[in-house]
Amino acid sequence: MTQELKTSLEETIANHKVLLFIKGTRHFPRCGFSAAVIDVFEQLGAPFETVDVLADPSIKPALASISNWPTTPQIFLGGQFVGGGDLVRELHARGELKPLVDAALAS
Amino acid sequence: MSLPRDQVEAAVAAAIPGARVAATDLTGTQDHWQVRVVWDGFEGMPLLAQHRRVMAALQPHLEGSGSGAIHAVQLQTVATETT
Repeated sequence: MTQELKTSLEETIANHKVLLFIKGTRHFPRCGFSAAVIDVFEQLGAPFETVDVLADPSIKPALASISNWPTTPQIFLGGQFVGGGDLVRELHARGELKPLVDAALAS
Repeated sequence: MSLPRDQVEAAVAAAIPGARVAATDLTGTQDHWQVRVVWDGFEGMPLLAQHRRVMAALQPHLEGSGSGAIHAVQLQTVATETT
Protein backbone atom coordinates (compact mmCIF):
# COMPACT_ATOMS: atom_id res chain seq x y z
CA MET A 1 0.00 0.00 0.00
CA THR A 2 1.37 3.39 -0.93
CA GLN A 3 0.94 6.42 1.25
CA GLU A 4 0.11 8.44 -1.87
CA LEU A 5 -2.86 6.23 -2.66
CA LYS A 6 -4.13 6.42 0.91
CA THR A 7 -3.82 10.21 0.85
CA SER A 8 -5.56 10.33 -2.50
CA LEU A 9 -8.44 8.20 -1.19
CA GLU A 10 -8.74 10.38 1.91
CA GLU A 11 -9.04 13.42 -0.34
CA THR A 12 -11.67 11.70 -2.46
CA ILE A 13 -13.62 10.83 0.69
CA ALA A 14 -13.37 14.38 2.04
CA ASN A 15 -14.47 15.88 -1.28
CA HIS A 16 -17.62 13.81 -1.79
CA LYS A 17 -20.66 14.09 0.42
CA VAL A 18 -22.09 10.71 -0.55
CA LEU A 19 -19.47 8.22 -1.63
CA LEU A 20 -19.76 4.48 -2.16
CA PHE A 21 -16.79 2.19 -2.57
CA ILE A 22 -18.11 -0.75 -4.58
CA LYS A 23 -17.05 -3.56 -6.86
CA GLY A 24 -17.76 -2.46 -10.41
CA THR A 25 -19.62 0.67 -11.37
CA ARG A 26 -22.97 2.25 -10.66
CA HIS A 27 -24.47 0.79 -13.82
CA PHE A 28 -22.40 -2.39 -13.89
CA PRO A 29 -21.88 -3.54 -10.30
CA ARG A 30 -19.84 -6.72 -10.12
CA CYS A 31 -21.08 -7.97 -6.76
CA GLY A 32 -24.57 -8.51 -5.41
CA PHE A 33 -23.83 -6.61 -2.20
CA SER A 34 -22.59 -3.61 -4.17
CA ALA A 35 -25.67 -3.77 -6.40
CA ALA A 36 -27.92 -3.80 -3.33
CA VAL A 37 -26.30 -0.66 -1.91
CA ILE A 38 -26.56 1.16 -5.23
CA ASP A 39 -30.22 0.22 -5.28
CA VAL A 40 -30.73 1.81 -1.85
CA PHE A 41 -29.15 5.09 -2.94
CA GLU A 42 -31.06 5.06 -6.23
CA GLN A 43 -34.25 4.74 -4.16
CA LEU A 44 -33.24 7.72 -2.05
CA GLY A 45 -32.79 9.73 -5.21
CA ALA A 46 -29.81 11.56 -3.75
CA PRO A 47 -26.72 12.35 -5.81
CA PHE A 48 -23.86 9.97 -5.08
CA GLU A 49 -20.47 9.00 -6.44
CA THR A 50 -18.86 5.58 -6.60
CA VAL A 51 -15.31 4.30 -6.61
CA ASP A 52 -14.58 0.89 -8.15
CA VAL A 53 -12.26 -0.97 -5.76
CA LEU A 54 -11.52 -3.48 -8.53
CA ALA A 55 -9.98 -0.75 -10.68
CA ASP A 56 -6.66 -1.19 -8.85
CA PRO A 57 -5.72 -4.04 -6.49
CA SER A 58 -4.10 -1.60 -4.06
CA ILE A 59 -7.33 0.29 -3.40
CA LYS A 60 -8.88 -2.32 -1.09
CA PRO A 61 -6.00 -2.49 1.43
CA ALA A 62 -5.60 1.30 1.38
CA LEU A 63 -9.33 1.78 1.98
CA ALA A 64 -9.36 -0.80 4.76
CA SER A 65 -6.58 1.10 6.49
CA ILE A 66 -8.75 4.25 6.47
CA SER A 67 -12.08 2.77 7.51
CA ASN A 68 -10.82 -0.17 9.57
CA TRP A 69 -13.42 -2.22 7.71
CA PRO A 70 -12.35 -5.28 5.71
CA THR A 71 -15.08 -5.76 3.12
CA THR A 72 -16.80 -4.02 0.19
CA PRO A 73 -19.11 -2.12 -0.16
CA GLN A 74 -18.22 0.78 2.13
CA ILE A 75 -20.31 3.90 2.51
CA PHE A 76 -19.03 7.36 3.44
CA LEU A 77 -21.34 10.27 4.21
CA GLY A 78 -19.91 13.74 4.74
CA GLY A 79 -16.41 12.27 4.80
CA GLN A 80 -17.22 9.81 7.57
CA PHE A 81 -17.34 6.03 7.30
CA VAL A 82 -20.93 5.00 8.02
CA GLY A 83 -20.67 1.26 7.54
CA GLY A 84 -20.86 -1.65 5.17
CA GLY A 85 -23.69 -2.81 2.97
CA ASP A 86 -25.79 -4.62 5.57
CA LEU A 87 -25.69 -1.69 7.93
CA VAL A 88 -26.74 0.81 5.28
CA ARG A 89 -29.59 -1.41 4.09
CA GLU A 90 -30.75 -1.79 7.68
CA LEU A 91 -30.61 1.98 8.24
CA HIS A 92 -32.62 2.42 5.06
CA ALA A 93 -35.21 -0.13 6.18
CA ARG A 94 -35.59 1.78 9.47
CA GLY A 95 -35.92 5.10 7.63
CA GLU A 96 -32.73 6.37 9.29
CA LEU A 97 -30.56 6.59 6.19
CA LYS A 98 -32.28 9.47 4.42
CA PRO A 99 -31.77 11.94 7.30
CA LEU A 100 -28.06 11.04 7.37
CA VAL A 101 -27.76 11.51 3.62
CA ASP A 102 -29.68 14.79 3.73
CA ALA A 103 -27.43 16.05 6.53
CA ALA A 104 -24.32 15.07 4.57
CA LEU A 105 -25.60 16.82 1.44
CA ALA A 106 -26.40 19.96 3.45
CA SER A 107 -22.95 20.03 5.08
CA MET B 1 -11.41 -21.50 0.20
CA SER B 2 -14.15 -22.18 2.69
CA LEU B 3 -14.90 -22.45 6.38
CA PRO B 4 -17.43 -24.88 7.88
CA ARG B 5 -20.49 -23.48 9.61
CA ASP B 6 -19.48 -24.62 13.10
CA GLN B 7 -16.14 -22.82 12.76
CA VAL B 8 -17.79 -19.60 11.57
CA GLU B 9 -20.17 -19.69 14.52
CA ALA B 10 -17.42 -20.67 16.96
CA ALA B 11 -15.21 -17.77 15.86
CA VAL B 12 -17.94 -15.24 16.67
CA ALA B 13 -19.14 -17.00 19.82
CA ALA B 14 -15.60 -17.08 21.20
CA ALA B 15 -15.17 -13.35 20.61
CA ILE B 16 -18.56 -12.40 22.05
CA PRO B 17 -19.21 -14.56 25.11
CA GLY B 18 -22.90 -15.07 25.74
CA ALA B 19 -23.92 -14.32 22.15
CA ARG B 20 -26.13 -16.67 20.19
CA VAL B 21 -24.71 -17.08 16.70
CA ALA B 22 -26.35 -18.60 13.65
CA ALA B 23 -24.52 -18.80 10.33
CA THR B 24 -26.29 -19.48 7.05
CA ASP B 25 -24.45 -20.60 3.94
CA LEU B 26 -25.69 -18.22 1.22
CA THR B 27 -24.22 -20.02 -1.76
CA GLY B 28 -23.66 -23.62 -0.72
CA THR B 29 -19.92 -23.09 -1.05
CA GLN B 30 -19.16 -22.34 2.63
CA ASP B 31 -17.44 -19.08 1.76
CA HIS B 32 -20.43 -16.68 1.60
CA TRP B 33 -21.93 -16.54 5.08
CA GLN B 34 -24.84 -14.74 6.59
CA VAL B 35 -24.11 -14.36 10.28
CA ARG B 36 -26.86 -13.52 12.73
CA VAL B 37 -25.78 -12.60 16.24
CA VAL B 38 -28.16 -12.12 19.15
CA TRP B 39 -26.48 -10.63 22.20
CA ASP B 40 -27.77 -8.54 25.13
CA GLY B 41 -24.58 -6.47 24.97
CA PHE B 42 -25.70 -4.92 21.67
CA GLU B 43 -28.40 -3.02 23.56
CA GLY B 44 -27.70 0.68 23.24
CA MET B 45 -24.62 0.08 21.09
CA PRO B 46 -24.48 1.95 17.76
CA LEU B 47 -25.09 -0.29 14.77
CA LEU B 48 -21.61 0.33 13.38
CA ALA B 49 -20.04 -0.71 16.69
CA GLN B 50 -22.18 -3.86 16.68
CA HIS B 51 -21.06 -4.73 13.17
CA ARG B 52 -17.43 -3.93 13.97
CA ARG B 53 -17.57 -6.28 16.95
CA VAL B 54 -18.75 -9.19 14.79
CA MET B 55 -16.49 -8.32 11.86
CA ALA B 56 -13.45 -8.26 14.17
CA ALA B 57 -14.18 -11.85 15.13
CA LEU B 58 -14.38 -12.91 11.48
CA GLN B 59 -11.47 -10.81 10.23
CA PRO B 60 -8.82 -13.57 10.61
CA HIS B 61 -10.80 -15.67 8.13
CA LEU B 62 -11.64 -12.99 5.57
CA GLU B 63 -10.28 -12.47 2.11
CA GLY B 64 -7.83 -9.60 1.97
CA SER B 65 -7.36 -9.12 5.71
CA GLY B 66 -7.10 -12.76 6.80
CA SER B 67 -6.75 -16.32 5.58
CA GLY B 68 -9.26 -15.87 2.77
CA ALA B 69 -11.44 -18.76 3.91
CA ILE B 70 -14.47 -16.47 3.82
CA HIS B 71 -15.19 -14.45 0.69
CA ALA B 72 -18.25 -12.51 1.85
CA VAL B 73 -20.27 -11.98 4.99
CA GLN B 74 -23.70 -10.56 5.54
CA LEU B 75 -24.20 -9.33 9.11
CA GLN B 76 -27.29 -9.15 11.21
CA THR B 77 -26.99 -8.06 14.82
CA VAL B 78 -29.87 -8.14 17.28
CA ALA B 79 -29.90 -7.02 20.91
CA THR B 80 -32.90 -9.04 21.97
CA GLU B 81 -34.98 -11.62 20.19
CA THR B 82 -38.37 -10.17 19.36
CA THR B 83 -39.85 -13.03 17.39
